[in-house]
Amino acid sequence: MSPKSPGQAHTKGLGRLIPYVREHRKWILGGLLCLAAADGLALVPPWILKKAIDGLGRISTGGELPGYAGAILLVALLQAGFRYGWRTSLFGVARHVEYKVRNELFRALQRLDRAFYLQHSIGDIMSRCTNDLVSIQEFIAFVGLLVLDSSLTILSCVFLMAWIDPGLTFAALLPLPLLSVSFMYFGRKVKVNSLQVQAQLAELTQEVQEILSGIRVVQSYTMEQAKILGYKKACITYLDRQMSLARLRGIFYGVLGFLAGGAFVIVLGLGGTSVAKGELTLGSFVAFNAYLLMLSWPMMSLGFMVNLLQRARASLQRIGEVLDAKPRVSSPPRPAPLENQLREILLEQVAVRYPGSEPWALRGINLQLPSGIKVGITGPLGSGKSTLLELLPRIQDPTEGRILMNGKDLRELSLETLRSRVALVAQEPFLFSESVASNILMGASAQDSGILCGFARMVSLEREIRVLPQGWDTLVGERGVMLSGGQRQRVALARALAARPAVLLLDDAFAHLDAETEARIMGNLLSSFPDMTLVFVSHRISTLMRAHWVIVLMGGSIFEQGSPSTLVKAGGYFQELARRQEILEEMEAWSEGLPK
Amino acid sequence: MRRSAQLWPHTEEELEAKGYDLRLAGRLSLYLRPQMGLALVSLGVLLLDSFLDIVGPYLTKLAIDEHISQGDLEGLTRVALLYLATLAGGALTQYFRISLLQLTGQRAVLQLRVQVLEKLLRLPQSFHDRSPVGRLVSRAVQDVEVIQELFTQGVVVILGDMVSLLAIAAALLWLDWRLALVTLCVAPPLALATALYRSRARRAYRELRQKVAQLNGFLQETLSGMLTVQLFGRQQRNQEAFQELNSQTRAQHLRAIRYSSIFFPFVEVMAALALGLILWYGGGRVIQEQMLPGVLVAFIQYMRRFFQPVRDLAEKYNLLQAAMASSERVFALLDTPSHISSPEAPARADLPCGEILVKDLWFSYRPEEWVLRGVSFHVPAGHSLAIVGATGAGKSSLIGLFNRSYDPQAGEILVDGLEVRKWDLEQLRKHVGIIPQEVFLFRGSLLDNLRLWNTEVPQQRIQELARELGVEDWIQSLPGGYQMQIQERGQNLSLGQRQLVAFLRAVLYNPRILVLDEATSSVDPPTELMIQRALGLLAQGRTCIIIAHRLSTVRAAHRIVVLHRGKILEQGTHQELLAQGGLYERLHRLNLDRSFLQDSVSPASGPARP
Repeated sequence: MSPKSPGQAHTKGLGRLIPYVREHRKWILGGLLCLAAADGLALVPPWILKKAIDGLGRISTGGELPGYAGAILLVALLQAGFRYGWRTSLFGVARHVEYKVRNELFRALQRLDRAFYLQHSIGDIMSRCTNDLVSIQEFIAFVGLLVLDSSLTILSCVFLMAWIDPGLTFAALLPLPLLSVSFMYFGRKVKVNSLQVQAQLAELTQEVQEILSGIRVVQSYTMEQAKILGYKKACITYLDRQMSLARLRGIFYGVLGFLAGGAFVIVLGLGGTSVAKGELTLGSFVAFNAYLLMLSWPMMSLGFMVNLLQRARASLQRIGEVLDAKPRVSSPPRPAPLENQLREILLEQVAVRYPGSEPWALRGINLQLPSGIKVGITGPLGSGKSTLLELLPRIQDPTEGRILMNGKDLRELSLETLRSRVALVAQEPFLFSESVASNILMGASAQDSGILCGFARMVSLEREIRVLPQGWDTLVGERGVMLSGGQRQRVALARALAARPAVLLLDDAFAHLDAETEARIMGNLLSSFPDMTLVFVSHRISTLMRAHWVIVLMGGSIFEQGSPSTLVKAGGYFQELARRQEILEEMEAWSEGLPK
Repeated sequence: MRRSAQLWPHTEEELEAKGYDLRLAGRLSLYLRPQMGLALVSLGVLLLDSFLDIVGPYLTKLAIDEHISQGDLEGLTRVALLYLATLAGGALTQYFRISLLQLTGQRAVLQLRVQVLEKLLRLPQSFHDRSPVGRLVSRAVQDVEVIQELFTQGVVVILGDMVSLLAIAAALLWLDWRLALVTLCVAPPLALATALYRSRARRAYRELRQKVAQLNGFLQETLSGMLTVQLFGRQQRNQEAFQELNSQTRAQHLRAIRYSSIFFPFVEVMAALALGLILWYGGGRVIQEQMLPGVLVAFIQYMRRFFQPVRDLAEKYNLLQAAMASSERVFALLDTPSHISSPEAPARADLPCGEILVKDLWFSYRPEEWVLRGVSFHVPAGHSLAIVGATGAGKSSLIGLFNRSYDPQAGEILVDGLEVRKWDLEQLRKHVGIIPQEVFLFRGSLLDNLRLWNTEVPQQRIQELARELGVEDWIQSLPGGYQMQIQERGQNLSLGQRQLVAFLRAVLYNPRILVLDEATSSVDPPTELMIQRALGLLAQGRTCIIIAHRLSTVRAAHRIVVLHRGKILEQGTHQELLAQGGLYERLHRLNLDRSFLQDSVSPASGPARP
């Protein structure tokens, strides 16, 4: 994110809403007209009251009273209609805009790549899509209402009050500026205090989060009491901050009530005197009071409006950061075509360095992978195995060098085309909280159960799924928690196969399986897909031995490579690995032989 | 996992079916009981505040009928000053009402807050394994926050509004009961409309909340699995599904808007109706000189105040509902049984010297997937035992059993001749110290992390021990030394450094028995050297069980156990096992070093990538 001056960001921020709002301009105009009409009508009943009460003294029949009462009711009914109109249209527009922005956020998020997701936690993004969207929706819902309603009401009420008695109006309005000033003053203080309350709440959240993340230590070292005491202290700080906020609010509302009431006392004293002297009618006195009452809400809403505006600005900026973020990995504007037949993949002087980290994750990788080859990759932790696999479906791009598919740089191809050819199965695959079937078929073009069973059989999963109560329709739960680690891996493998890739990448995808199952699945893969290019990371010699070619990575570079049968005699890492595994197998056999 | 799903079964429909309101409200009110005195004072202030609030229109009536109509300006001034005084008094009661009620509610919730954390800390490891931290945090913080809002705002406003309504009705009846009865004719239709709106709005908001939860759930899941979504090119389909959910949410919003757009204007119409009635009937009575004009004015002013609480009450209903759902979830957590706890009458070991006897231990995390299968061994007091084996052999599972982070399904562990389940849990955990592979550090100073917030331990004592362990110089070399601020999870210390902290923690804690899961990951050589030396000193005079990954550690142990797939294959001293010429001997000959146990065998579990 390039740093922007705050002024720029702000203008850009609010201007951003214009296209969304313009779409609904008819509804907004209609809503505002309804609002103005409702506000105008609100002025009528006090005037009717004035007429009626003044009439009480002069005539003694009271014959026109039902007429006045009826008029008030009629005005109210009309007003209700207009109120319905502006509420549904203005509030509705806000929801429509919210809907649209949310869709766009989702679209933007689906386009962004790892660079973005490394910078922003899911919690952060979620908060942008929820809290920030709410403050924008509220802004749109209330801004017209606040501005138009306040100004109309203030102007018209003050005008009518002055019509009744200019001197009294001046006196009555004396406390009102004070009201606005104190609203601003306390509003700012309340805001500061609320921020402190929020900060302490965040602190509580983090405290609980940390205690729960370290629950093992807490319980093992019987730190419960110390941690509870610490938490209680933080809670008491929170309570104190809430209390000072409450006290502030208490003073605030007290002052507010006093000032607003003060205006009525002035009217009662001065206006009452005028009535007593006969300079003002009782009806005018009552109407005057009614108009004064209508003024207090717009006066108070000023602070609310300022707050709404500030929040909306900040939120729009945060949402804008998502909408404007550019993925590093994306399709070129005019992607090169790719033949249906995959011939070869070529890695030329490929090197990767993660931003902010010193050593190269991969360096000087040159590989030629003809179509249909089976390549095994092994090496110690952190040697760059996963990074190498991630380059092919362009989860990330190499920092240096290039990768060619059928002679074309991957960056020239459309991402969609590339990824429909290359499938990757991670060691800890992500499953969606749907059924087993829909997880497996998520990348498949055809959706029938024959395909499903075929692929499931290929990964030795069919029998296990069939015995589940709901079979293929079994829901796998959040991230697939209802399945075992091995089942998750096999569902992910079936899912990759169902997408019929030309290149299959397995990143230690059998880690949770026992040797026997792994061997069976590997056999199935080799016999059923002779033309598929297969690149797999593994630590198991028996699996690596089935590759045409084995690459040993060490510290980001190719340490040794060759056919497994030569490597196993080469006296390097691979041979060492093989010797060690021999003994492991021995242990295995031994433990199986023990009585249970 | 299945169990964790049952832990929070409470969808709102289920809640409603159970007639939850009263039971929950009763349980919530228990938290108010200790604040009874404060609550009663607040209630008194609330009544006084409502009273002062309704005095104004009466004073207006007084001014019109007694003074203005009589031309008594002196009297008018008196009334105006009295009015001003009630305003000042009202400001005071307002202040005390708000802050006292806040204090009452906050204190009640403080108790609940701490109680929730206490419960979470008492729940066993197995519970925490299957409960995502985020969900528990939302119980302990967000749900409690909603309950707090109910205590400090909901209850107050509802109570205050009720009192205001009653007080206004009483004032009207007192001023002129005939006009009051006529005016209050609007009350029944108003009540009916409110009830209707409430039931409609309740359904609308409930569906709205469900839709919003679905929408956000979908968003969250897509974000978590974004890489998979992108690799399988599911963006378009996802976008469609999301927009569908989004548009359903919008429809519910629009529905809720429609309801409120009908209800609130309707309330205004009722207010106008009341005004019309006052004018018609009251005006007539004034003309017939059965009522003074001031009463009419007072009635008009009272009616305005009557409708504000009606609007408030309708809006607060949502808060009430949310609070009930939250308290149901919080109480469900508080009611979760904890099956690992101290026995009623803990026994005491005769001689707490640190002897361990493990007899035929069977353990699994999930039914029928045994991690330990009949493990038995004996460690005399002061001796050390090294456990070796490949990843997945069950080594790390073993360590949680010694301090009852988990209980085994079968078999038993005797510490100093006493079954661990018979120990007082806290005593046991003080007696058996555990150092896991991944050392967890908390935010705060290094000093506090070392003494685990036990401020009774002086820094001097720690420094002495650090010197003995040979890590004092290293600590002094850190930025800030003992006052170094540790970041979240200790990420500003390296893995090896964190282990040193854990060692020092353990000597300070000074348990008789030490169970240590040696870290597999490689560490830079100088730190490695410090770790090795510290470990040797740590083991002196203590009973030690070490999950070992380094040859030097294994060799230094009195006895060695070779564990594989939950079974013990061999055990004996280093010499015995070598002489035996079995597996251990083979392992040893193959230069048993850390690279063996980490790289070749373990399907190295790297960090999950986004």
